Amino acid sequence: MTRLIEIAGLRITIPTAQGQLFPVRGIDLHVEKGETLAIVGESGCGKSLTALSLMGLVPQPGRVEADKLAFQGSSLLGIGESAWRRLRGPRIAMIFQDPMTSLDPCYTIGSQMTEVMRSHMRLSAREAHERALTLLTRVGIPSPAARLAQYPHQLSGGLRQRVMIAMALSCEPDLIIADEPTTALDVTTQAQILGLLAKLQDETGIGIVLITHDLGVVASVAHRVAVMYAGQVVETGTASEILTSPSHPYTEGLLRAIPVPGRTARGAQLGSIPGIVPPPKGAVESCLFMKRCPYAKPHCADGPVPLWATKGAHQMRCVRPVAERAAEPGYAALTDAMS
Amino acid sequence: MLRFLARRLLVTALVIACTSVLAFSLVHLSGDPAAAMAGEGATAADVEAVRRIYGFDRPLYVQYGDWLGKIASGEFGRSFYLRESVVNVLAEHAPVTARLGLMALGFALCLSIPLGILAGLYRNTMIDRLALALAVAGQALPSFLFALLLIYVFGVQLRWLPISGAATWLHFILPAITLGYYAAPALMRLTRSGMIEVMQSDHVRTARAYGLAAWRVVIRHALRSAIIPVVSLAAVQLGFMLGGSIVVETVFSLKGLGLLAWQSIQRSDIEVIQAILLLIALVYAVLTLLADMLNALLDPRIRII
Repeated sequence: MTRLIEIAGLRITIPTAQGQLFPVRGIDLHVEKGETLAIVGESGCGKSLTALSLMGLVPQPGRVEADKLAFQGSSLLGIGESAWRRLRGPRIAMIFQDPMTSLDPCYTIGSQMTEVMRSHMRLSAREAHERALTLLTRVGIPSPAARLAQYPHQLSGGLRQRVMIAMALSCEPDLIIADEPTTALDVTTQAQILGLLAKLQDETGIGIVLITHDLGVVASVAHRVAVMYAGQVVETGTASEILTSPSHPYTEGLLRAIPVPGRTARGAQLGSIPGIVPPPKGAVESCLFMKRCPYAKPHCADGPVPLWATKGAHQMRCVRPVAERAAEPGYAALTDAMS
Repeated sequence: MLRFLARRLLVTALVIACTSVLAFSLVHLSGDPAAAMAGEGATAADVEAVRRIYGFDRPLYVQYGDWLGKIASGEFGRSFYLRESVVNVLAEHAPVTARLGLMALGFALCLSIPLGILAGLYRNTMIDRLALALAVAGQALPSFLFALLLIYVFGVQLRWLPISGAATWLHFILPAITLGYYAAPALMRLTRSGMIEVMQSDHVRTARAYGLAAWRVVIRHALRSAIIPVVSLAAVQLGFMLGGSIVVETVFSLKGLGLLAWQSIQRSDIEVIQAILLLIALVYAVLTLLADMLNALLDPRIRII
């Protein structure tokens, strides 16, 4: 069976006056039908650009190159704007980070939903309206008829994100890309929105690419995780593998930064990763994380580190296996030094 | 929406009230009106007599109330120079300026909005540079020079269009282009910067991410937000044009309000000046109100204020 999404060797280059930038430098990812892949990483690691390349929306003058960039078996490389338009909405839909600004303030919810549906499906105005009503009900919006006549500013953030989800579902896509869908929402609403996405996935078998920097979000909905750092995937595996036994030092550092209720002592120093992300310039000539890594050894600088399988589908990009590093203090030494 | 309208109407009424005070005080600011009316050779007794006859000896607020009452009933007095009622004088001049102003705004919008959209969409390309050059030229070229240029090319050399008078609407084309070309650059630059900003906004990205046709994204989703400040500016510019342009009206021999205002000031024809002042204030107030209403229709968030 063909995979929903298959990406191999994805590179995104941005020419600037100061030379070429490489925000995404060779990424391999895939998404199966009915699966949720979480792409995790800090701001600027290239996770959003990777997602935008699946929509043909990488902003100018960014250039997308890949060995393979395929959706349901057909290549997305070099297809024209009208082909992209037929894909956006009916095949791949996107939910954005900020529901406050992602809807057009000048049109009612109903007008925006029906506009999308009528652009892609043969529907009369009345049919589109009926369908919008059904969709709003399905995403759990009370009194949907009244909501359809309202403008975005009259809705709360949570409701607006539900509207975005309803809009994403409206043309029955096979894949939804959710770019930090819960970042702008309060914690209770976050849980509701994530629950809704999971429920809709159960019902429709839709594939989801979830972009987030919140590992809590990952834990609650993702099946598989790809951790990105400086434009590379540094670790990938199932959500439980990544969250319980991270093998890359970067992932370990991220997990250590999360306070755990009951386990983290009050007033205790939370883990942090020292240093800054290297600029996305030049060729990759070493491990990109080595300068911030508590386990770094001289041979980390010998050359680019390939992804290698530690166990089954669990892959990572560190030259030192977990067993070899286990005896060293690692991050614990850093935390002690700070306190 | 009704509450919004009511509040805006209140502001409009206030603006007109303030202008009426200014217009009224014009009579007194320009010296002793009784002395002016009595003439140069008048004795002190004559001046006193005039003062009593015309009621200039009453308290100012009584005079103002009296004047306002007359204006409310349509009595704007007589032009002492033209020896005609002010209403008739205005009725003769205002339509010429109104036609000129509306045509000029129409021309300015037809030129500036498409150019502004293109310049904004194709930023830093040849189209953008060309639009910028056109804008700089429009702003830098004095109206009278541009008017003479148009007259020379289209009137004298090509003989396509009439160059003087207001007999047919064809007579208004060259003056409207002159006046409109001067207004276009600001409108175009504002459209351009609005488009650049809104094309990067989240809701336009959403529209693109849902596969809407390019023209729908640009016109329905981007332009509608970008045009709002342009509407406000266009209203002010139309008000400016409806106040009459002395230069354009002089060059093309149009008997409009600008010419009338200028002549009346030279003749100290105070009643005419007062009426023009009030008319312009009213036009401005109504245009601003219309612009606000139009913007409230375009963007529902404005209706809350």
